[in-house]
Amino acid sequence: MEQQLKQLENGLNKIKDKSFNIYFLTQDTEGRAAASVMMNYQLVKHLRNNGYNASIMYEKTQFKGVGEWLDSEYSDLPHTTIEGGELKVGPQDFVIVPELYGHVLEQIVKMPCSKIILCQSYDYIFETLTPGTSWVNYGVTQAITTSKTQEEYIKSLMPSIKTSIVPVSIPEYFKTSDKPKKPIVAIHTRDPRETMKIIKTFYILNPQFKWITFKDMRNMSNKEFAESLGECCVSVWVDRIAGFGTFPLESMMCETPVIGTLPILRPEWLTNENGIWSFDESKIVEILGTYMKNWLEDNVPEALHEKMKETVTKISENKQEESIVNFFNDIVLDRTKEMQDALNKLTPVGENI
Amino acid sequence: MNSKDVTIILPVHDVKGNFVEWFDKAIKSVEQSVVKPNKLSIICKETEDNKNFFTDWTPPAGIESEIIYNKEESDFCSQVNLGVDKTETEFFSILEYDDEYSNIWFKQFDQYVESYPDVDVFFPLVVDTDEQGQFIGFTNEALWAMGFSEELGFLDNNTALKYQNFQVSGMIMRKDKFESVGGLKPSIKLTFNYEFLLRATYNDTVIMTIPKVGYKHTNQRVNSLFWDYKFNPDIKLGQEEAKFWIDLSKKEYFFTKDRKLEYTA
Repeated sequence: MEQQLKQLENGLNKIKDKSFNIYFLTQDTEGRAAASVMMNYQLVKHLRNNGYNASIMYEKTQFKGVGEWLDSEYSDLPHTTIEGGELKVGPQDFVIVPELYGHVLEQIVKMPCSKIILCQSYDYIFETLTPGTSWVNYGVTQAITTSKTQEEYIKSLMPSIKTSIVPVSIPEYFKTSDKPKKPIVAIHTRDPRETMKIIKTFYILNPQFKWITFKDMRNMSNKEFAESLGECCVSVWVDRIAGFGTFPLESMMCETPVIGTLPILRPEWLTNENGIWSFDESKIVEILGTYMKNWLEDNVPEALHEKMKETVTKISENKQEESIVNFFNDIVLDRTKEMQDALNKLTPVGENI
Repeated sequence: MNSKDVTIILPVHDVKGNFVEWFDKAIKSVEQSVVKPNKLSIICKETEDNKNFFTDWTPPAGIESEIIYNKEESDFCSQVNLGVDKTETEFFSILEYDDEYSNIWFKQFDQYVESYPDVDVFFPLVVDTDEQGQFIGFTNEALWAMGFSEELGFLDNNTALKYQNFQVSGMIMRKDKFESVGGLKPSIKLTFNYEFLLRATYNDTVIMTIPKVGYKHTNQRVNSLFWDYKFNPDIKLGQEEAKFWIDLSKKEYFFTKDRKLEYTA
C-alpha cells in the first residue's frame, strides 16, 4: 500500500507540474507532406510552448519524419518510437492516437496510460477497427476532432466518448503572392488518378486554354506548397471524404478561389458563397473552363474574395493553441482531483486530519 | 507609373470603304476603358479625304486626342514610328483601326507596371476574331505555357527564334526602349512584327504578357494587308516566300537601323 501511495503521490506531482508525457502517435508519411501530420506537430509545439511535455511518437525506430517538408521548429521537436522498447509510460501519461490507428489501440490497450483519439478524418474511424468494436472497447473515453460536424458524427456513433474540438490552423506563410496571380491552376485530389483525369478532360474540352498550366500540389515542402498556392489564380479540390478540408482553407488564405466538390460531411466553414462548389464531380472541368474565361476577363466577383477573407479570419494558430491547451488544462484539473481523491482514500485517516 | 503615362497611337492610311464602321468601334473601345490613358494620337496620311473626315470627326470623351497628318511614308511601320516620335509620355500603345481594346486593359497595365517595374513591353492577351467577331484563338498566350520560354510569362530571344506568332498591336511599350532598339522596320514588309521582337529581345528588352484579355484583333479582315497575302491571287504568298520573310527577319534583327533593302524576285 505504501508503494501504491508513493506512486500516486508521484503521479499527482507530475500532473501538477505538467511533467507528465503526452505522446502524439503520428503516421510516417516517408517525406510526403500531409496536413494531418502537420497538425500533430502543431499541437505538440503549442503544448510545449505552454509548459507541457509533449512529443511526437512514431511506430517504428526507422522513421523518416518531416524534415523534408516542415521547418526545424517542427522537425526538431522531441520524437520517440513504440518500437525499440524505450518507451515507458505511467498512469499520468497520455497517448494521442490518430483515428486511422485503430489497430494500435489493440497493441497499447495494456499500457498504463490514458488514450485519446485524435480524429481528423471521420472516414477512417473504422478503417482498422475490427468489426463490432469501437474506441470504447480499448478504454478510450475522450476524443479530439477538428470540426463540429465531425464531433456530431462521432457522438452519433459512440455517445459515451467525450469529444472536444481543436480547430485546424494554417501557418501565416499561406498568403497571396506580392505579384498578380498567374494563369496556373493548383489541383489537389485525394486520388492522384483524379488529378490527371481533370487535367486531360480540361484540355480536351477547352483547347483554347491548352497553355494554362496545372500544378499538382503533391511532393513539395510546406513552404513551397504555400508559395505555389499563393501564385495560382484558382485551385481545384476533389475530396469527397474530407473531414475538415484544409486545402481549400489554405487556398483561401492565399486569396486563391477554390472550385471543389462538396464533401459528404460538409464542414461548417463551407458556405455557398466562399467557393465554387459542385455536388456533381463531372461538372468540375466545365466550371473551371468558365472560371478561367472570367478570370482572363477580370470578371471574378469581388464578393467571392470577401467571403473567402471572412472565412479564414475564423482560423488562427492562436485559436488552435488555446483549444489544445485548454483541453489539457481541463484534464489536469480533473486528473488532479481524481488522484487527490484516490490519495485521500489510501492515506491513513489520522494523517488526513 | 500608370495609364496616365501612355499614349495610344492609331495609324490611319485611308478612310474609304468600311473604315468608319471599324474605326468607330476602335474609338468606342478607348472611350469605354475603365481606366483611360493619357492621349490618343491618330497618325493619318495627309490626303483630302482623310482631312475631310477628321475635320468633322468628334473625338472620344474623357481622353485628349490629337491628329497628326503625315506627308511621308504612310505604311503601318512608318506611321507607328512617327507616332512614337511625337509621343510625350513614357509609354505608348498601338491600336489598329479595325481592332479594339478590352475595357480592362489599361486597368491591368496599372496593376502590372507597379508589380513589374522593370518590364519594357507588356503584351496583352489578344483575342483573335473573324470579321463577325467570332473567337478564333488567343495570341501572346503561349508565354504562359509551362516550359515554353525561359521564364514563365516572359519572351526571350531563343524563344522568339523558335516561335513567330506574337502580336505587337495592343502592347504597351516604353518609348525610349522602342527608340533605342530602332523602331519598326518598314523594309521588313511581311514580318516586321517578328523582326522587331527578335531585335528587341536581342537588345535586352524585357517583354511579358499580362495574362488578361486586353485586345481584340480582327484576323484577316477582307482587303486587309494580311488578307491580301493569303487570298489575293496577285500577291498571295507561297510557302517559300513566307519562309523567306522569316529567314530575313532572323538575319536582319542584328541591325538596329532599317537598311531599306530592295528585294527582287
